[in-house]
Amino acid sequence: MKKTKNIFIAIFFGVFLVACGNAAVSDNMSAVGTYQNEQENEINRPFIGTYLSEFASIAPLGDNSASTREILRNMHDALYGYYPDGSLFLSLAEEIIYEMDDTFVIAHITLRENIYFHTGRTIDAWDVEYSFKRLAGLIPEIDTTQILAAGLFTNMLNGNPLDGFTPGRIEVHNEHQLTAYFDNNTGISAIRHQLADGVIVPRDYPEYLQQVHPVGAGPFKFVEHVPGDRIVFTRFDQWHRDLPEIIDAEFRLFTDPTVMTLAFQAGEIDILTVNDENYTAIAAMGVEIYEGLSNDVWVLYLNHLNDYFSDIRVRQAIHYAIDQELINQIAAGGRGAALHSHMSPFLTTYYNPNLRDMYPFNPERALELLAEAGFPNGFNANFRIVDNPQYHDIAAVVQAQLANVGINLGIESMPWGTFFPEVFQGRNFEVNLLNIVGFADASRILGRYLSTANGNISGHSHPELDRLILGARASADHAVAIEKYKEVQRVLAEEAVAFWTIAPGIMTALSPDFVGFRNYPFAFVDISIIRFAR
Amino acid sequence: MFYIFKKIAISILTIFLISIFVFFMFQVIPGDPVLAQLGIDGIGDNPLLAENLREAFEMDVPVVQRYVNWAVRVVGGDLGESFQFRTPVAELIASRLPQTFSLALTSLAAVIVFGIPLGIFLANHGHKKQGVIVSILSQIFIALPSFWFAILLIWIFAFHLNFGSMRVIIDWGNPANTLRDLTLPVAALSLGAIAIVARYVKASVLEQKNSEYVTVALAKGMTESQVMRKHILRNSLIPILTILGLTSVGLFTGSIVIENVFTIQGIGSLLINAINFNDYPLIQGIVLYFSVIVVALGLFLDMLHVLIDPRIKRGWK
Repeated sequence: MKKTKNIFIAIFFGVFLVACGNAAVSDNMSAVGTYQNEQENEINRPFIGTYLSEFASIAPLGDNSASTREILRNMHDALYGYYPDGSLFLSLAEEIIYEMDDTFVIAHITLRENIYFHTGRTIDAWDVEYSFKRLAGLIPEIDTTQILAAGLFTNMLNGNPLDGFTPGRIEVHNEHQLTAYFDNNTGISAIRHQLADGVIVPRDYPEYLQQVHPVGAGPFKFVEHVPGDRIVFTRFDQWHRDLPEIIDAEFRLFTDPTVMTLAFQAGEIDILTVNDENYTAIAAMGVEIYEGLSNDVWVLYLNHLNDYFSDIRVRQAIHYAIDQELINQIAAGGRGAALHSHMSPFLTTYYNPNLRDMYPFNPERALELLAEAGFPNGFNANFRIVDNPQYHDIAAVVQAQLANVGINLGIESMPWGTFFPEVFQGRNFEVNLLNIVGFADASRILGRYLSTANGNISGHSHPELDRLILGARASADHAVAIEKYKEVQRVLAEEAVAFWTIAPGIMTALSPDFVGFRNYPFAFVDISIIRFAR
Repeated sequence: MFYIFKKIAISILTIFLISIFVFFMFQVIPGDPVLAQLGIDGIGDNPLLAENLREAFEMDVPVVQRYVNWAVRVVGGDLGESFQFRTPVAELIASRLPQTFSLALTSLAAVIVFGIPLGIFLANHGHKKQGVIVSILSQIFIALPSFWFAILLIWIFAFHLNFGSMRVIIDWGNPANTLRDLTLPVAALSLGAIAIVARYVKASVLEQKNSEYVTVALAKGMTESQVMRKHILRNSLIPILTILGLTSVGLFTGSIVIENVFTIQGIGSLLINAINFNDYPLIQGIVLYFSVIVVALGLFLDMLHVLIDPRIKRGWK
């Protein structure tokens, strides 16, 4: 028996020692090793990012998920580019002049000279035509279900006349100039943003190759994608704008967020989304944490078809009764921002700052308004939310504060798969809470308050609001449109169409070797603006 | 032969029933694959695309018809196409099999190599100090959730001791690195199973040790190790094989969680991804794969039992 015991112990320690022996010559931390060796020659140091789930497709705009788009956007360019605050600048286009008639928004586009694809070929007007048609489903060889992030291009160029759209067209004049006729239901503002999202791809590069080796015109070109492991980019030195400092970039798949945090602490990766769980550990590292606001809006929707909430005094009472700062502290660690309409302060261009004092926290005033509306003792209502911890946090604060003025909400949480058909589409609710993902485009954000919009969950109808939104959409003068969107926010707040709780905060940590991270009003890890720390 | 046919027939029926259950379960559970792919705004932006996707996913076909279509395809070896990856499900599963098998089979090897000797050790030394310590440790390993244990191992070894990897890339072209990187996930997956097997082996060996034939063998002059090797271990084999079979099933299904923690691109991480995207064909294909493994292992164990002890077969006649 002693012999058996000895054999067992020998096996155990043998295996352990072999494993440890391998560890001694380990190169699994290849990234860290490379960094340390090459730190003196920092120009060669690659940037290592991460992603949480495998890409469904790496073809340009093939996958609509935010986690894919925030990375693959680095390979692409469009007629417009985005500044981090969400405003637009001309990128591949040198000039775009808009005209409007009863049917179309007509865009006269002139391309820059000396703009190239990653293949080295010059970008011309026919490539722009091809790219737009690819997104609009007008290239017969390309299956539209393989381009899930095509945005509004179908409506703009290939809309169904039965749905009120007029099919558009594109006229190419020469290699640098073209004119696009887009259906004008979309509005100029949204079209401008679509031209920023509609990436330009070469017409002579087949789609099946885009699926495995994407080609664009952005600051980084594709090197390799190892499914389940990584995607690698390298700088595109013929890019027409200021070249990024980073030459090589690699994004690695990490499917567990806790392990991702450990990897950041160990120096295996250079960027990490910081949240309440890992904040203390990351802050303790002394690295810079970039704090910003999200463009998302947490909205408390009130059903206007309901007897209680059809009365503006009840809706206003809700505004007075809820302390948004408390929601901010509890649900966002104080890093979010209280909202006064459906616009995050992140979008400084469109944000109306004059609404802050419209509804100060004042439960007494809420009680007065409820009494005036005929509900001196309050009332009961159902409160439907998505079964998710963040929803529960905000819902609990709302429930407690409204209970103080006699409005008793019964929380019913349900999976998103039930919430969407039942509450969002079926409008079967009295009160609901929803995180509305933001856009950079005010017309997309505020367009959901058109009385005819799909996103009009509250079921409200307000002619003044409709007039303002449609007026802003139709305005060729962007400055005029901005003013109209600010007016839309004012009317939304005055009418207390919904209760906008907070825009949550976003925190991102960068390794000490890099600086310059900026948030965008959409998912984007822009490595072209990240620089080496000096 | 009748026994074998009967067992195979029962296995096929089991897989068929599981396929029905799995298919209809995912029809009942709320979730919309088009919503998962396009999001609220994507559907609003492009209703035509949403409609095309619904058509491509056969969502407008009645559910029973959909099941029949799926079952007919499966019998023909076609598991359908993944909604998310637009790739045949069989191809996706085949591409992930080596990773899952590497993890599960290495873990099984660890369970056999460590679990059985440990059980024998506990049977012989259970009452001594070292036996008590090992026994307490085995209790702890059984109690610890594997995902938590996996993160703990990463924190201790990969993070602090710089041993092993936080992300495991299985590449048998480089066996030394792969074996080293597999150490932590295999430990996370197998330590609980080692403890369970060790306890079963201990119980089984103790039961045999207290049998009269052991006393007789010792009285005849055989040494303790001879009795252990020639009689006790052989007679303990059936319960040990049974628990090893059940443990193997646990290792394959447990790999779902461990793969996700270590970013191992096996069947388990594919399943989690598929669930997140309501990718029904992929979910059904993977669950069917797990069902086949479980049923096949059960069948294999039954056969093995008959080989070891032909008396079992008589009960079926």
